[in-house]
Parts: sequence; structure tokens; C-alpha cells
Amino acid sequence: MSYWFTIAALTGVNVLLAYSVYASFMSGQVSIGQAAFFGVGAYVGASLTVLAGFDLMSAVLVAGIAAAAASVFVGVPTLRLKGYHFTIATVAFAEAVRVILHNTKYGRPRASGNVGDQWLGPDGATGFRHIGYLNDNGISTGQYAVIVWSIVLVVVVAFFLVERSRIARILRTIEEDEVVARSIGVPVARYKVIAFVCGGFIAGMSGALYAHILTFISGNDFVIHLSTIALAFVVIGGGQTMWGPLLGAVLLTVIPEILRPIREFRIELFGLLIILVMLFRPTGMISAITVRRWGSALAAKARAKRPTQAF
Amino acid sequence: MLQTAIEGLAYGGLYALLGLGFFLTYGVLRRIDLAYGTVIMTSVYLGAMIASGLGLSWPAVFALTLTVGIPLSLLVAYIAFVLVRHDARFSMAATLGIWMALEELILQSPGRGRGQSVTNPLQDQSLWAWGLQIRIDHVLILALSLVTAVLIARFLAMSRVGRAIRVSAYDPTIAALLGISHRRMLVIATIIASLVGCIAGWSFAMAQSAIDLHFGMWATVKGLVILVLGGTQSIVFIVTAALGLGVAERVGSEVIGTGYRDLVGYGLILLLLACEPFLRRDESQPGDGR
Repeated sequence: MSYWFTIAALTGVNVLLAYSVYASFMSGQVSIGQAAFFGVGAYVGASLTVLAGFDLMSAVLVAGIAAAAASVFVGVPTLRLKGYHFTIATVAFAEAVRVILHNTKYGRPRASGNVGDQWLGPDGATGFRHIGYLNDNGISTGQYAVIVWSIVLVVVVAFFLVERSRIARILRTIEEDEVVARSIGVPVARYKVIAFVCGGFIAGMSGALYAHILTFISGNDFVIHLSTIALAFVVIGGGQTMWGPLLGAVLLTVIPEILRPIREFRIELFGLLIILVMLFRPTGMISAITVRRWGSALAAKARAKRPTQAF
Repeated sequence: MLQTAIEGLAYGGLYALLGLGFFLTYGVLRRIDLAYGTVIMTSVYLGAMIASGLGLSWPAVFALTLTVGIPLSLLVAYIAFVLVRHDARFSMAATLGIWMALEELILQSPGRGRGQSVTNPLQDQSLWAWGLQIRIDHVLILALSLVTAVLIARFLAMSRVGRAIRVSAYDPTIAALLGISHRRMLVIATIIASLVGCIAGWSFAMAQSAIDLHFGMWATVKGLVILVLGGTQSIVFIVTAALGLGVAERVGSEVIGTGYRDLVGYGLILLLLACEPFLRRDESQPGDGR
């Protein structure tokens, strides 16, 4: 059972990662650098619980804030540029962060430990081992999955509310046509930066949660492939509505676990799925129209139940 | 220091080739081909694997690379740029899918993504000049890339097809009005880009005496870096940026340690992008929108 709880927690982490891509995707910006914020969050979160004695929740929050700060650093200069510059900048930033994480060493010696394993904290290429918060505090994988999913729930509710607000409409306008958005007085760059920074915050939290499941992280966990998979969740699930990333991340994490034989080929499958989706259903599995149709179907059902009122 | 700078020039040559590949696809199609590096890697990898299986020597590797590479690039371009055409973002996502799938296939191929050795006939042969040791293959790479760059520049500037490509890049609508087939330009640009990429991949494999899985992503990222640093305006800028980056990386890694070598390029690109709004040249072109 604890295996499935771990899968559940990892699924939650992936859902968060998908939403972090989705946040800037709403304004039409494609980021292939979420791995950087995920990695920053993982390192910061793990350092806080392991080295500074923080509790999990505050470590996750601080990790999110650290990642958000990093995304301000990338977003402010590059989101003003048009076209492909932003995407390339995120790629460059992600790789830069990976190189830095791969080379950082701080922390303190571990009292007990075998030879060659006596360091607490990130140790360069060896990585960051012994992130033992869950074990030390007697949190079972089941409880952890609940913690992760409650954070996911908060994020999903937040997106649900945003989706129905003016903000989402503005972001969609920017996605559709920046010139139009600017002409009706939308501060385009500001909105794009805010969306991207929110994405960075979510990615940071998700990274911190991830570090605590794995108990061992290294710079090479945060290669660009992670960002591409995160983007795949959104693209396959659907980038037009908030249900897309949720569906994409859950399906693409859980299905390979259930169907063992395809697990080995899951990356090929992701790749193939992206191509197929782009060819035949560029909106992703759930499009805005699907949501509207289902919404009105539900509403119709609700109306049918109510007795009709005569005027 | 000078020694490393010279080594850097050879890498700069490679970067120039990769940058030229991106210059052609982005320049003509306004689409970013994220699968570019992986396609090159796959072709060189398969080329090396087949050649070593059949006991063929290094020129055969190049021939095989081209035989795999050009059709593969055309296939990628067809899927990602012809079939998926409504939105540049969708095209990019499709190339991303191709990248992921191809790389993973290579990882699970009989070679397992581990290095495939490629014999280097010029291994350990160097020139000595002014007290500096210069590897002959490095000189050849640099020469090869400069010649390729000059040839492409001449081709774009002088030939009829080259001019057609430039019109197509400037504005697809005007190109269509002039009776230039965008599809045909796409095919030509893809073939040239793939050829250039194959040369880069092959010469890299020769210089390293091996090719492995990591080359794909490395090539894509470096190509993109060059595209940003050099801009999309002129080949001279691309080559200068590439050589500059090659030297800066090697010299920089001498200064701050090899672990951080790649940081130089990424740092430069972020710095440049951060400064871009301030040194904005008016680059707006028709047809530049998504």
C-alpha cells in the first residue's frame, strides 16, 4: 500500500509541476525551464528541514518563495521580449541552475555515517542525501500523500477561482493577441511576469515536496527533460482550461504505473502522444469547448430536476 | 590561456555550425526545431553504430550519418512544420515530442545510449606553433565550419534559390505572391540545416573519438544560445557569436573551474536578454508575429 501512497504523492507533485507550466501558458508563454524552479525549491526545502530544523510546511512555503524570487530574476528581463526569446531564456536558466546545483556544497558533517557518506547537505555531484524529515518525524507515506494532495487542492481551487475571474480573461487576451491587449490598456509585461512568478512559486513548492519523498536529490535530477515532461502534461492534458494540466499530470503519471509493460517506454509514449495531440487535437485532451459543453450539460441536468416555474 | 583560447575556437566552429542550422530553420520558418540536436545525434549515433557493425572506417560514418540524417530531418520538418501549422507553439511542442521520443529510443537501442566510438584518423597529431600545441583536427573543424558558413552565406546572397529563401524568410505572403513555394523553401532549408548539423555532429564525434546520447541536448541548447547571441539577421553575427562563445567558455572555465564551463554561455545569454530592451535595435520584421 505504501507504494501506492508514494505514487499518489508523486502524482500530486507532478500535478503541481503541470500547474506551474500552465500559469504562464495561460498568457501564451511557453516555459521549458520549470525544472530550475523545481530544483531550487527542492534544494531550499530540503536544506531548511535538514540543516535548519524547519518544519515541513514552512520549508515548503519558503522553497516556493525562493523559487518565485528566481523566476522574477528570469521573468522580468525576458518576458518583455517577443517571440522565442523567453522560451530560450528559460532553457538557458534551467541548465545554468542545474550546473550550479551540480556544483554546490554546503552543510555540515554527519555524526554517524559510513566512510564516504559523512556529509549532511548538498555535496556537489554526489547530491543531497539523507533528507530524512518524514522518517524522523514519523510521517507515513499515506499521511504525506494527504499533505501533498491538500496543497494540490489549494492550488486547484486557486486556479478554479482565477479561471473565472477577470485575470484569466486578461491573460487569455494576451495569449490571443498582445497588440490587442496592449491597445485596451493591459500592462502586458506585468501580467506575464506575475503569471510566471506564480508558476515559479508552485514549482518551488512542488520541488520541496518531491525532495522529501525521494530523500535523495542531485543536480542531475533537474535536467531539462523534467521541464519537457512538465510541459507535456499541459500540452497533452490541454492548455486552454485548468482541468487540462490536472488530467494530463494524473493520467501520465498513473497509467505507466498501472500498465507495467509500457513503463519502460513511457517517454517514447509521451513524445508520441505530444505529436499525435498536436496533429489531431492541438487543444489537448480537454479544450475550453469541452468544458463549456459539459458545464452546460450539467446545468441542464440540474434545471431538469427542478420543477419548471410558470411565469 | 592562449592554448585554451585556441581550443575554444575549434568549439566555436562547431557552435557556428549548430547556430547556422537554427538560423536556417528559424530564419525561414519562424519555427524553433527543438529536435534539431537530437536528430543530429541520432544520425551520427546510428551512423557510427552501423559503420562499426560493418567494420567501415570514418568516411563511411559521415555518409551513413547523412543517409540517416537528411530523411529524418525532412520527416521531422514535415510532421512538425507542415502537418502542425496553425501555431508556432504547437510546432515547438511537436518537435519537443519528437526530441523526447527519439532520445529515449536511442537510450533503449542496442547501444543503450552509451558512447559509440568513432575512429579519429588524426588522433594525437598536433602542430606546434609559437610554442603552442594545436591539434590538427581542431584546425580542420574550424576551417570546415568557416568554409561552410561562407558557402551558406554566398548561397543565400547570390543564388536564385538562396534569394527565394530570404524572401520567404522576410515575409511568407510576399513570397507566395512572387510564386515562391514555401513548401519547397522549407525542404531546401531543412536539407541544408540538416547537412550543416550532420557536419557538426560528425566532426564533433571525430574530435571526441566518440558520440553519446548527451550530444543531442547539448547541440540543441548551444544552437539556441548562438541564435540568441547572434540574432537572426546575419551569418557574420552568428559565426562571431559562436567563436566568441567557444573562446569565452574555454577561457572562462579556466578561470572559474571546469564544473562551471557551461555556465558562461547561459550567463551570457541571460545577461544579453536582460540588456536587450536597452540596446534594442529595431529588428521588427513583417511576418515576425506568431
